[in-house]
Amino acid sequence: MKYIIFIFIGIINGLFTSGAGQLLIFYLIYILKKDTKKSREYSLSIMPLISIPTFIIYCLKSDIDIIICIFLVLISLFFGFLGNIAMKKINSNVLNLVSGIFLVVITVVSLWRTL
Amino acid sequence: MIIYFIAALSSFLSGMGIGGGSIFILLSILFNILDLNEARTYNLLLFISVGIIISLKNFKQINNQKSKYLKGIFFIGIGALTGAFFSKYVPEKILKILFYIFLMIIGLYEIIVSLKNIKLDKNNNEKGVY
Repeated sequence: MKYIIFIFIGIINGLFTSGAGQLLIFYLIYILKKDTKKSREYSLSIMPLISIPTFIIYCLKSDIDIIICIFLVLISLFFGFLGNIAMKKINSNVLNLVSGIFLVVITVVSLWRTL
Repeated sequence: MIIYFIAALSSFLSGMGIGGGSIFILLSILFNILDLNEARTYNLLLFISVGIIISLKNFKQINNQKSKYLKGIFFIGIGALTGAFFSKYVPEKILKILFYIFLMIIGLYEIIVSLKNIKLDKNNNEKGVY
C-alpha cells in the first residue's frame, strides 16, 4: 500500500511540479505516524533528486541566466542549511502548525490565480 | 535584487520542510519578476540545492537507512515519470483546482491537529507543574 501511495505522490510531482513533497510529508506524519522532523528530512532528501530530470526539461524550455543561477544556488545552500538547523530547534507541533498555515495561504492564493 | 530575498526566504522555509518552493513561484510571479516557466526552473534549482545540502548534512542517517531511501526514490520516481508523461493529456486546469482544494484540506487538517496537540501538551505541562 505504501509504495502505491509513493507512486501516486510521484504522479502528482510529475503533473504539477510542486506540492507533492507536502503530500508525502502529510502521509508520513499523519497516516503512518512517523516523527515530524525525520519525515520532513526524508521528503527533503528524496523529492529534490526526483526533480532533477524535471529541472533539465525546464532548462531546455526556458531562457535562464547562468549568473542568477550561481547566486541562487549559493543562497539556497546557505539558507537551506540555516532553515534545517532552525527546524530542529522548533517544537514539532508548532512546525506542523506553521506548515499548515503556509499550505492554506499558498493554495488559496494559487486557487484565486487559477480561477 | 528582490529575487535573491525571495530565494533566501524560500530556501530557509524549504530547509525547514514547510514548502518554500511554492512561495518562490508565487512571490516571483506576484512581483512580476519572472514568468511561470522561469519561476518553476529557478525554483527547481533552489529545491535541488537545498536537497543536496540537507542530504550531505544528514548523510550518516541516510546511509544507515539506504534501502528505505532508495525505495522511496524508486517508487516516487516511477510515479513522477508517469505523471510527466501524462501531463500533456490531462485537463490541467480542472486537475489543478482539485489538487489545490485537496492541499487546502490537508493544510486545514494540519492546523487543527497541531492546535489540538499544542493544547494537549500545554494541559499536560500544567498538570505536571501543579
